[in-house]
Amino acid sequence: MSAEAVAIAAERRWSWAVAVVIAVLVAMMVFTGLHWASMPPSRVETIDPRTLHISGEFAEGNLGTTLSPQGKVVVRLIAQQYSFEPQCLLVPAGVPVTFRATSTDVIHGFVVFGTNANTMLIPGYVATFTTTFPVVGEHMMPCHEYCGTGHEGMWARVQVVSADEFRTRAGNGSRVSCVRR
Amino acid sequence: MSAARWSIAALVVLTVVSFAVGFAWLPSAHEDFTAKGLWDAICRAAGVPQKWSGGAPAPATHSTRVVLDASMQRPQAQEAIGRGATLALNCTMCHGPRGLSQANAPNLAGQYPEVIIKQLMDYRSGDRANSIMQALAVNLSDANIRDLAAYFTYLPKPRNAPVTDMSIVPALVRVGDPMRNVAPCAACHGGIERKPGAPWLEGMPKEYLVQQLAAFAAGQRHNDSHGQMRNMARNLTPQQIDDVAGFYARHGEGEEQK
Amino acid sequence: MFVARRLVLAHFWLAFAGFAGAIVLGEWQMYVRSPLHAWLDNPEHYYRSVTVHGTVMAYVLPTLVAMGLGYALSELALKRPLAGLRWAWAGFWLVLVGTLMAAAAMASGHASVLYTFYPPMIASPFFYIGIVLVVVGSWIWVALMSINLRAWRKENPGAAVPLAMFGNVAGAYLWAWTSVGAAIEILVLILPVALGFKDTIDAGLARVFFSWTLHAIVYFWLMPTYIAFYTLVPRAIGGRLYSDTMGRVAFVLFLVFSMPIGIHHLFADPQIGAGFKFVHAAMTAMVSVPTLLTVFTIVASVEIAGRMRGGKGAFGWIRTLPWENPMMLAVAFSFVMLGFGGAGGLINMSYQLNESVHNTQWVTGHFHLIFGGAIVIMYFMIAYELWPQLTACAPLPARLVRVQLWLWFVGMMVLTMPWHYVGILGMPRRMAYYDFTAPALQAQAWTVTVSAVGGAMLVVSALVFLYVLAAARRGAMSPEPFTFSLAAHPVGRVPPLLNGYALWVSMMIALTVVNYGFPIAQLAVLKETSVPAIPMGLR
Repeated sequence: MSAEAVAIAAERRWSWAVAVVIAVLVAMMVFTGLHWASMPPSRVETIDPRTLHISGEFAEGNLGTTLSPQGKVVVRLIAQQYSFEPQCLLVPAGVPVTFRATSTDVIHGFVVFGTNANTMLIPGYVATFTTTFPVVGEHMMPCHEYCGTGHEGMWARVQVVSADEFRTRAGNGSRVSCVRR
Repeated sequence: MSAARWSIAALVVLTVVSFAVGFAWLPSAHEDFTAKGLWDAICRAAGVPQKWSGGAPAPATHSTRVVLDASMQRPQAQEAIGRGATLALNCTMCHGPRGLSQANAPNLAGQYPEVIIKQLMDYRSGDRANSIMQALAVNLSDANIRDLAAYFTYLPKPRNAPVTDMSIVPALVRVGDPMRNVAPCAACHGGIERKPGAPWLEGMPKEYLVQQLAAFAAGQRHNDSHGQMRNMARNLTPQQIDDVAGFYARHGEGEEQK
Repeated sequence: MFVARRLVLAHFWLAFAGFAGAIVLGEWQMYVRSPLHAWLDNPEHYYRSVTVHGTVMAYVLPTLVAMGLGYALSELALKRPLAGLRWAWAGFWLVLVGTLMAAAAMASGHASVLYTFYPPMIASPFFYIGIVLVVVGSWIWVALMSINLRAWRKENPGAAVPLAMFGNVAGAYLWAWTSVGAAIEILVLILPVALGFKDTIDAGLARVFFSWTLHAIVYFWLMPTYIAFYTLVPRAIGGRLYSDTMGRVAFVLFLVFSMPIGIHHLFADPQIGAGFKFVHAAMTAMVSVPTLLTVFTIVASVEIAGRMRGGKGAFGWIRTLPWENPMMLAVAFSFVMLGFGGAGGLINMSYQLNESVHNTQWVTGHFHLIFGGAIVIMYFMIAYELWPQLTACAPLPARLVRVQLWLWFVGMMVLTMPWHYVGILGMPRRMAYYDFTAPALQAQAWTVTVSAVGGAMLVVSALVFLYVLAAARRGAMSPEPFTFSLAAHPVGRVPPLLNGYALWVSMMIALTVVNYGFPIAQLAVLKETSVPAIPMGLR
């Protein structure tokens, strides 16, 4: 075999190795997507940010966490310059929690420390995702997208309580939060 | 040219497989997508907007009915200012003859037009409570309100002496208190940045500012949409409220009196 | 070189002057938000600085380096004078005027919207117009690269395009198409609002257009670096290029796959469906192919150098490499940073893993390592390599150059590793200050101090770089003819497919249309998502 043929053969082997690496990575994404039900927030739903405060799902009276009679936990919140409303979210541990959120003005986003809860909030669109908080505790929840000159002050909190305690507080169908009123 | 054909075929296969996985296979594992059949699942995966929310939420309580609009901020014609001046004769008792209050009512001189419009509309609808103001506002038409805003905006605003020593500016005004979710006051009320709808505060009577911050904190005043101000005020200590109000109310060399 | 000497020097000096200013701002940002400094009295100053730093580093520096290198290559590789010199100068002046215009808007505090724009925040129109001028200047460069290649082909029918020029023109076409996304965003969506003709803007659509540009722009930044890997490194360290064909394959794969993947920046966005997110994630995996191929080819080329110098055994060749040669050092550093940064990139790409680091400090760490690290360190080498050609200077002081490279490498690692770490903890990006007295943040305080120290090393390195260039004695000796790497096996006839772009450019456009067409079209017809603009810079 000529030196050039040897070189080309080595190159071929490497190309196959690359193909395998890529295939494995994509297969991992597909596998987790199929079996761990982990999908990026993906629902497209539009909403007019100008009138959020007047009526509809994101009017003030509807924000906070609710427990439906079927046991579904939904957190509704909005982001605005420079706070989330509610400022402190109350959620149960070990139960899937669905977030529905949007922005009233500019682009915001949030991440809950130490968890996978992470989304962008774009005015005009509702962001929806579902996640589970495994353990009881309190987390910081900063805005993670530059939203103006007060961005550095936009910190909310998430309080994770036991599923029992949550049922006691939200069982009557009212919306709850951990904002001290 | 077989290499070209091969490249194109490979790209087409890759694209078709990716789309098949992304639009059919992956959604098939998720109830959200499959609830209404395959075509619907594909549409959802493609991002066709739909209403996803199941079940109507409980009846909403609102904070204000006003929608801030860019048109509220535009300068008005001279006639509007004139009409506003006439209407403003009703306001002089509390807000002063030139919009500068001697009676711990807010100064209106030089206030931003959208601020005046929003507050008057909230008084008129009862979303902001004050027995005198509600009684006065209830008879105002939208046009009256715009005229009044045009007039007060036209008056020169009171200004504090320029800050030469940053140490006199309370921390809350400059930098806020991030961990308690208090943004710098100056990020909305001017100084750092001005957010439409946020009032001009310099020269406001201290007592008025303290009263309003306390009312926001207690939730007695709630015409800020989505608790924008209540969220800030709730986390302030009485001392912080006093400092901030004192800072904005401080009078100084720069104050314009005409 | 023939006629482009002053032109290339002008591009490089403007690029590096901007770079020097922006890097000082970057370090200032790290310092003021570290526990070493009290909170800024005015947080807007921080965001203003981030805007300048990002705009200069992302748009001005790499565009000018690519342009300058492109003009140089078209003379050095094609061995003919640059055609269209006047136009090239016109492009340069457009970039300069655009840069100054945007700089004035940013410096006056009327454009603190960051280099990513983020409508519905709206800055001074001068900021956007300045950036448009920079891009238009670079489009002139794209056209000139194409024209020069065509002229060369006419004179050399059927000959293999020199690899350096092949990569260069691939980069030019890549840029021409990728810059279209942001150009549409600015010209169609943002400017009408900034100029006051409209009050509303579709923030979601704007983000989609921006993502079209924002990911592929990285490969535009990367092109000069890869050209250096393939055509300068093997020659500079006394080796041979393992495979000329692989270089061509890598360049055309970048053309095809760098564009239709930008939605991976929008994994957590609500305006894009899950299907397109997956397709873009899968194609993002594909764009790592050219990089993985390059890693093999360049390591193999370096191995050839080691063996030619007497290295034996599986790893013995590493010891015999010319480590005192700055190019050797730079390519090694670049690969280490590319390795870490690339691994981080694979995490960002995997759309489930992305959830835990999306938009945190991790992302800042990732792109500083790839761009500021792996890519920019090769920009230094490009400047060092070309300097004797451009200024006829005496050989540059190798010792000082090595110190500069070491500082850059260590500084970049010290800067970015803590960012990756706190990103996993959830630290958000782009905050003017953090309350490190809070229990939740206390444990992260030291990391910001460490990053500030890393940043300081980068500033010193940048100053040494500028000193080396400025102190070079001009006209000390006439330059030796510039050469590029020789392939280990002589390049015979190159298949026409890898000697031109028609197929690849068609694939690039077709794939972009397939992957972006529907999301853009459907958001563009949605009326209710046009939201009120928020003007910035009101006082």
